[in-house]
Amino acid sequence: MSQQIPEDGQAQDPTSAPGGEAPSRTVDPAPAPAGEGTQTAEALAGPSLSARKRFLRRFRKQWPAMIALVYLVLVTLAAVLAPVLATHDPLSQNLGNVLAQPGGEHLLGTDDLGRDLYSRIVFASRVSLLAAVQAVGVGVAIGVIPGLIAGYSGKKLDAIIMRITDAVMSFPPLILAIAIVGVLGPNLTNAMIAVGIIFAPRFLRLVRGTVLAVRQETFIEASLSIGTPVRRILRMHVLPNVLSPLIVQISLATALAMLAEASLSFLGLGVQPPQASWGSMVERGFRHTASAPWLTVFPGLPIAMTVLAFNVLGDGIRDSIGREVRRG
Amino acid sequence: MTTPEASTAQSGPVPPADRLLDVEGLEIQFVTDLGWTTVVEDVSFSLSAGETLGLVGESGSGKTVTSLSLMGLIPSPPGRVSKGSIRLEGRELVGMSQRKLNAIRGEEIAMIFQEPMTSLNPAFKVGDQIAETYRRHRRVSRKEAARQAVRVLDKVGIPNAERRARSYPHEFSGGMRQRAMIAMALVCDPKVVVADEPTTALDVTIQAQVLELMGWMRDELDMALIFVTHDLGVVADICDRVVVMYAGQIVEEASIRDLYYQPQHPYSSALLAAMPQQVSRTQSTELASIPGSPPAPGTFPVGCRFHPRCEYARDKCTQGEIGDLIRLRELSNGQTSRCVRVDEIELQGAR
Amino acid sequence: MSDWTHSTPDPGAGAGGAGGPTLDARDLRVTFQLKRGMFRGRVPLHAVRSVDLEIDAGETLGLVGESGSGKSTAGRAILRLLEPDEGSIRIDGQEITGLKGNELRRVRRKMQMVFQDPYSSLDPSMMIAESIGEPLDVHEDLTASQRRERVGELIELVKLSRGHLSRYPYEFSGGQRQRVALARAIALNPRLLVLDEAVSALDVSTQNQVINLLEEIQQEFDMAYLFIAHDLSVVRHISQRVAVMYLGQIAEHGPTERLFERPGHPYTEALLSAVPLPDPDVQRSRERIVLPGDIPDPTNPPTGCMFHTRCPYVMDVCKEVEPEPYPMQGGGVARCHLHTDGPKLGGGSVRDAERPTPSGAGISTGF
Repeated sequence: MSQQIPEDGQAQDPTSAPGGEAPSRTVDPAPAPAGEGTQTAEALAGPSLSARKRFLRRFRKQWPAMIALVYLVLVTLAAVLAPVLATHDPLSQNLGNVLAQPGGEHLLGTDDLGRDLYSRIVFASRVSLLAAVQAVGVGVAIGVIPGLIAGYSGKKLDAIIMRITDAVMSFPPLILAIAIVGVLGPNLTNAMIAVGIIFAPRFLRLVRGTVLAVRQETFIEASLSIGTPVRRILRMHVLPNVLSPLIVQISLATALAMLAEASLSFLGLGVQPPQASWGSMVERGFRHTASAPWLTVFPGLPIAMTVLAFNVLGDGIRDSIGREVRRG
Repeated sequence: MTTPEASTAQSGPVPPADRLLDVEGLEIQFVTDLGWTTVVEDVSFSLSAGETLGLVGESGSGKTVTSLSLMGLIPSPPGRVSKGSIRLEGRELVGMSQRKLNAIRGEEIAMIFQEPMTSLNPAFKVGDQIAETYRRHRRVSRKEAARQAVRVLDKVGIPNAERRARSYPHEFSGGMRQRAMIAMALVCDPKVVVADEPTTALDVTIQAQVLELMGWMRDELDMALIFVTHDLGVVADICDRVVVMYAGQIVEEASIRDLYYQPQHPYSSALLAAMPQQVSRTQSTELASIPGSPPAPGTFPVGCRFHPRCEYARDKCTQGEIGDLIRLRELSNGQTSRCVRVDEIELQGAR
Repeated sequence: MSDWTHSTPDPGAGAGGAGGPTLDARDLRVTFQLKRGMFRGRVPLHAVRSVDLEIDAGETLGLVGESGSGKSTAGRAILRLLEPDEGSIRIDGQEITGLKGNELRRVRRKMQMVFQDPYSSLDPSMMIAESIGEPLDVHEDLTASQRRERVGELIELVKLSRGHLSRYPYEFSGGQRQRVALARAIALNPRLLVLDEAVSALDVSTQNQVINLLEEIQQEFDMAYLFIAHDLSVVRHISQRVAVMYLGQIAEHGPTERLFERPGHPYTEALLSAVPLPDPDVQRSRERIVLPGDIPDPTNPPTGCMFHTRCPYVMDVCKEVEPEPYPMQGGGVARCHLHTDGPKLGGGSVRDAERPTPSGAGISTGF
């Protein structure tokens, strides 16, 4: 324990305030005393250290999130390299070898049309991931900006945006999706745009609610008082503080989007056969649960794991962002 | 000394018969990420009838936790009283069942909180809330309880008490709400009232009213008061005896005049010196200040807990192992101090 | 009010318009429209009614008052964080009412604020370096290394170290956060700093460190401070002049020593007597004036003198006629009929007036 007999009260304060600093001391070297600050500071953290670097440093310590990230990268790679990884043509049928057990020539067996299940799963990852990303992307694109505006501006603009949102939310989601696909034409992209439109109000409400809370914080007024333009306040202060709940919502929505895609595909509104997504494969395999359970299990596994990975990743990101709970 | 440190904290020869409240060797812990963290340690004091005791400290000193423990109000989990005893007229409160505690709380020992707005239920009329407290302890009719509520509201200086008893808390001003809180504490004529920062949230003119009221409670109702505060001005106004807390420990206990005019712990002395006296900038250059800030629980320094901020600290103040306790020493006049150098140093008081 | 001269060595040094006050606010008025209940009725609340404030470079004006007195509202209106209904605000001679958009944003660099709550005035998601550097990003075109250098200077100016720059607010104690807030506020060398209860939330032991720092920084940069506080002891220490607000009006203002020693308004006198002094012998022997009741509802203020409902000296005239500011011996003014009516103090101290003994003194009077 360092023992200092301070002579000048002022100079001691920064280094001897155990209240706020103690928790971090175990991680970072003790802060440099005022005089020799420059080079020490550069060496360990440096005033130039960006928020991004700080984020990455913390994120690396979150091993479950790191595993999730690695998994998602692998899945994405698998989707990109599908033609290389697949052992068979995912579309070629062999009616003489339907519902083959896993093992042998077909690693994971064959489906009810004798197609290689492993190859189909590999190719389906392209469809599933892309579909989920499309849906969430559309939802975020439509939802976030109006949410920011509604939450920050308040009054009339807020009322208008929220009434539109209410109108969208008052439609039963499935009927809305069918209606949208009906107008745009039945294919996967259109189905996912429909899902995105259904998601948008959730994002909007979440963002608006968070912004309303953040707006009350003194640091917003503090920033206004130094003459910060509103757009910069939204970008620098409001958005980062909205980000963590938004990221969690995005990961959940990605999971939901995968399931929505499966449902719509089942209804013939999403992926069109013979193309397959994980969801549509589960639906298809479901007809043979008793005789060939692997048809459901094997495509179901990547859905479950990917959904889990998105959730774990979301948690990890949230814990690495600068916002911290106040201690004590 | 074979007895625990606790026994040294009694101040002066108080005949046991007069003692209402006896706290001995109190230790309170809260669970954190790192396990059980001791928040309050080795706290001992006593309170006699008609006496007003000040419990003084900054944030993190443990004064509020200590006051809550007197009421059996330490939230558990995450907190617990891990050691020591609290006796109210000889009855041990530590470990007492909630049912028995409920019978004592409000009836024999009552509490006044800092935030009158959050301590009164906004959904019920003020008079009904007070009557409800009364009926919980006395088997009386609703009518009688309502009468008692009006009586006590009138007693604390609420005009038109009969009418105001039918108002809701939000219809009261800040000062009136605090009076209503006090009325609720007084309705059963408790022997001990614990007031946790009762004037901190109030404006000075309202604070003056409340201090006047509490002085009257002490003088006219012969009530024993524990006044928890960080404001040495308020303490100087109302307290007979003072316990100064720092970093979860009592660092000094003294009669009011001893504390202000001959403090025996560097922390008390430094606090007094730091009070912005009624002196303008033209007369003094710089305000005295204590370097650094008070440590949070779990980060208390080894040895004397005040040593990193103390201008009198020497090597012997910093020695010891984690968990070692510096003894609270009794001085000749009944004053106690936890400073190891108390005999070697000359400390300044007020003025 | 400008006839009181202060003792700053070289007034106007570094200021834009030499000679004139840094802040000159005249006839400032702020009204809120309060929604009352569910029935959409709106009630005007005159939070600030005709306030004049003037502060020179290097000078501190203390603005005291209880909650609801309008002191924070006045501070925010001066910075145009709230829109005043009426009045003129000049910073270094430049009129800032009526400025809009970019013009207003540009003038903000001359006037900054430190807020009460150090826990919510810093963005928790921003590193300290970003928080301190934000005003530079908004107003100045610095290279990355210039900016870093300036931010480093600023953090050292408030007696923290450069090592703190890459940390987040949650790692700091209240006193340290308030230093960071100060560093950020002075980043652009403002002429006027509004300190809204800037030390009220701090512990006694850390509060003085920040006060000393404020005084040091003021001397170095010759800034004008508007120090808004309810703690009269701190105000007495830091301010050369003090203004006391009651229900949106300045009841009295004047040089600190005159106001504390010879208060010209009964409200000032009562406020001073209500602050308990940390000295038991002194505190117990002195007389405390306990004002009855609370501050009246500001949406329905009393007629005549606003203070008459609680004033121990109340006369008939007080209930009817609003008093005009009366010049005080020793500087400043007080709005009180006692100077012209009744005892006719003529600018002397209320302490010289005879206070009628309140009937049945004690607890049960009150409201």
